[in-house]
Amino acid sequence: MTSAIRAERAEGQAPSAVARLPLVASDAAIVEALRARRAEGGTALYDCHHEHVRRVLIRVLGPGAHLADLVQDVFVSAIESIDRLEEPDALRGWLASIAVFRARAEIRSRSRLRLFPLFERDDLPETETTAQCPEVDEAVRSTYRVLSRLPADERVAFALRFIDGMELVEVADACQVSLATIKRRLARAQERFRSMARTYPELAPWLEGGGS
Amino acid sequence: MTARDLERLGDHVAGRLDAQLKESAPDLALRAALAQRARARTPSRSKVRLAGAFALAASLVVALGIFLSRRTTPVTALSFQVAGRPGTVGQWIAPDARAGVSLRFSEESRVALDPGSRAQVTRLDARGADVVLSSGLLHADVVPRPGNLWRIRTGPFLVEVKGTRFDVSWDERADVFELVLFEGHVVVSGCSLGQSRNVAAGERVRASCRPTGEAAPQKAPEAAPRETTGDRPTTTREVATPSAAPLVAPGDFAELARSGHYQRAYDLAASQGLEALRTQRGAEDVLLLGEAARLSGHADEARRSYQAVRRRFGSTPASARAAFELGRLEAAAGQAAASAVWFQTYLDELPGGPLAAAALGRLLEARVELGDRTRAGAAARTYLERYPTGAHAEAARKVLGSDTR
Repeated sequence: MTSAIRAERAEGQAPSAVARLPLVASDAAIVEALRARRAEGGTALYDCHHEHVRRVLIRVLGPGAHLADLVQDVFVSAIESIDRLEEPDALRGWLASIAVFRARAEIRSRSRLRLFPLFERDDLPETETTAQCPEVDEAVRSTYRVLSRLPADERVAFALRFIDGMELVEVADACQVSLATIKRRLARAQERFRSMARTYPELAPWLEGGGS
Repeated sequence: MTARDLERLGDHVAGRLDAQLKESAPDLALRAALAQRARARTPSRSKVRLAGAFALAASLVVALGIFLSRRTTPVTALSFQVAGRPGTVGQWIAPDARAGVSLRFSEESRVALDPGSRAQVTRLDARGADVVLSSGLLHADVVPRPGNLWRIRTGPFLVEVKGTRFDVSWDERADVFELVLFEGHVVVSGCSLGQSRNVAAGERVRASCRPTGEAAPQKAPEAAPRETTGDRPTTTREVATPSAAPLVAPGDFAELARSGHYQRAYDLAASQGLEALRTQRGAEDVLLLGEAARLSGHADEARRSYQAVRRRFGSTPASARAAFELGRLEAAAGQAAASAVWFQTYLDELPGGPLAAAALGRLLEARVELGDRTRAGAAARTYLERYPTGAHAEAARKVLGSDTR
């Protein structure tokens, strides 16, 4: 189902029999439209990439994240800096790197708040419950509890590699560091994750080579 | 747990999260806002310069004004939460006498009320909010954004904010207004403060509507110390009186920056040549140039300005101040290791300086962020020895506490 049809359904309209094709179809065309300051560049950017951006953000930050604000930040940042994108065909990866940058800032902001609580702990996004969400099980919650104890850079690398399933080169690109750096980071992250995961019974099946 | 086990766990987590994402509908408001944003997009700097070469000066000024005003228009109106629940404009917020309450705004700005305080949000839009404090103590941490418009009203006083961190209190019975500014600039007005009084980082203002009650920005130790302000930069900073300030030509960037007009200050400085200003002006002005650049979103130019101060005014308090600012810039950019180096530099060069407590606290934050428990513990111990009631004291105790568990 295209996002245009989803959008109509979300507005309570009947879906069209014929799907509306985006006026701007390719990444190169989206970039061109944005550089020409055409409004359809903004809508096409959202239509073609909002799911990708949301997916990267939620996989790095976990199920309790305030995605709406973060997604907005990523797209606004992309539109404002579109002139800096050298290869229009690399738009998707470039958006991922912006999302990663934003997610890392969010993680750092959370960790700072946890340590320097100007505000009561109940306000912290990390503690926002996902209990009402049936898809999120204890293994997911425990995974992010462990990840929340990792340094931000390691957490991001781990999430992109093992949860988002990116290749090492893609993780390095998204984090804007060298392949060697990302390998070192991942090695440290794996070691820490394994060590800390032992204290979470919900992760025991996965530790022992099982899991569902 | 092998890498293969981690991949299987990752697949499971990804599947669950994707299922959650499928439940959410596209954000049509954001989609529409992005269309607007694309139309009003700011072209890159080089393209602006190229276009400018072919335009008349007057029309360029007009065009620049138009696109800056577009650029500074945030996409959507803010929202806020009170202690985790959606907040309502116009509703009084009054925490009881035992616990404070916090307001968390959607662009990350935060306002916290001390126990027994009373306040309400009276305006909320894309540019910011108006908050009325009827009594008590309010802590604000406003995220700097282009086009920001935040105002705190308390009694007869008004605090206009662009992006900064400060505490403000109002005691109606005693008729005492007090503001302590930790970062940036604000403009305060009301009663004996007149139409507007610029307040810079590290300054404290006490004022009253009684004829003899006002005190201009002053050394913080003369004011009654508050537990909540602790050791922050305000406690020892020497504040220049207006008459001691260097003379500046009308429209000078430094004057604009001092009055909190960072974007205008930066634009004016850029038109005069940033590098020339960095090599010709005094240390205070170059620091101001850095601040204007930082708060108008030009981190690289801010960095160059502070580095110029380091080069030109080595072994002076201004150079140490530049090190502190560089630390803050790096921290904001997520470069914890670099920020730690700069905060340490400040402490090495000016161990008893007005920002020493803040630098040590920020050093502690950076080391925690780096996961360097040993050195974070060392910073925490030093902090507690020197500033046992300081702003970072609780955090330092937590660091030491978690270290011993």
